[in-house]
Amino acid sequence: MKRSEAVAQIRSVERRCRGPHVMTVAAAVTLLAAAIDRDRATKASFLADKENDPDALPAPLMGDDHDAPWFDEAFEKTLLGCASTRDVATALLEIGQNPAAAFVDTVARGKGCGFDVNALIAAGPFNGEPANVACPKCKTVIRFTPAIYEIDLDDPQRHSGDPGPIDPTSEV
Amino acid sequence: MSIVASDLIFFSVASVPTDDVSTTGGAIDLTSRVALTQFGANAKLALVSDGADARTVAIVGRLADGTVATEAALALNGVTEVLSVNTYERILSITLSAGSGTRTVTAKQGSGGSTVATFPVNDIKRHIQFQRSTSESGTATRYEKQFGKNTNGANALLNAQVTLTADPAANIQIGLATAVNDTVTVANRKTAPSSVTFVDDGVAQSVPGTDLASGGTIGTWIQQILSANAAATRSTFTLQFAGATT
Repeated sequence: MKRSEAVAQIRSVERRCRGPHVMTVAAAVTLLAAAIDRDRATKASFLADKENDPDALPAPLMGDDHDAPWFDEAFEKTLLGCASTRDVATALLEIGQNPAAAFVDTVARGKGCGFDVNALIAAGPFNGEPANVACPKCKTVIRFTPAIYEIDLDDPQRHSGDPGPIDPTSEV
Repeated sequence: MSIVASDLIFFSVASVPTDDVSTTGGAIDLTSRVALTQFGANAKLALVSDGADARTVAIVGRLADGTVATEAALALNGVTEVLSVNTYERILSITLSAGSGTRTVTAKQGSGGSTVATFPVNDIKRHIQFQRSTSESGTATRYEKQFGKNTNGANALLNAQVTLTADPAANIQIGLATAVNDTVTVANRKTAPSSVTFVDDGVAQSVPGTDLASGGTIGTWIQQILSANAAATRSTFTLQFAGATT
């Protein structure tokens, strides 16, 4: 079979990483700004926006745009050092901003990492051998075992580790 | 009516192996489930029905010395508890002689003990998976099957997902069939089902087609990987069957 056919079969089952939710630092700052300004970005609409289009974040509300004095330059640096969205929530808890922490934690728990694990599977050989690969997004180690697909030898997309078709005339 | 958690049930399959040569998988068996809580300590198995009930029960389990023992026909005595003859270290399977349209049977760890299995009406069997599977000089990989079924009579389960949520021994991966309502069988449990990709508890898998129709089933293959000469374990794994409803 063609490798593209095998990939299509793999993708018939969507697989998403369940590791911790991770955002870009800019998105984390935006998330927090939205969290502390419920009038302009309510929890419900913010989550809906995130669900529909993760890139369509509301504009950051920094500096004079909101009245949260604790959201200063020093705290922003703390956020930029966070590895995951849950870490952002923890940082908020540590300074006593419980409502904002709860909001951020809800986002983190509700969405998870969400990386397309099929992309990892499709990048490797279809040899039936167990593999351990770190999620490129959240670094969680994912264990998987691809199905065995015999890929045509002349398929330009063939992976060097793919099994080839069995020759019915060969002796073993 | 909206789907509720009790509408989403994992059932067993037509062919449940207890060795490495028997056929594995097949169609869903709506009278059998892989749902058997193990004993916390060696105990006799207690069985009780919720009314007049004269069915018999077959018990297969391991004794304290590791040997497998069978009690072929322990007779129920209605609402009066009956005890197995043997004291078991673990239970491998409990099978009622027939289904009942009215009676529920409860199995417990010892007389009056904690419940290890409940047989609602029409259910016949509870068992564990990978019975009598052993490690070998090389890695031993085995495959068995379950089905997740949306038993709601009206609604589809939206964005249906099956996820391995717990695997303390870290030797289980699961793979979904590439089509719903399948009946695929493999020659034996050491033969991998074709076209099935397995993942661990770090990955959520969506049912092919995204939604699972009312009455629909999704074949879920369980892969057990025992490393070479692995020590004996008595462990568990947990599957989650989830989605949205209207």
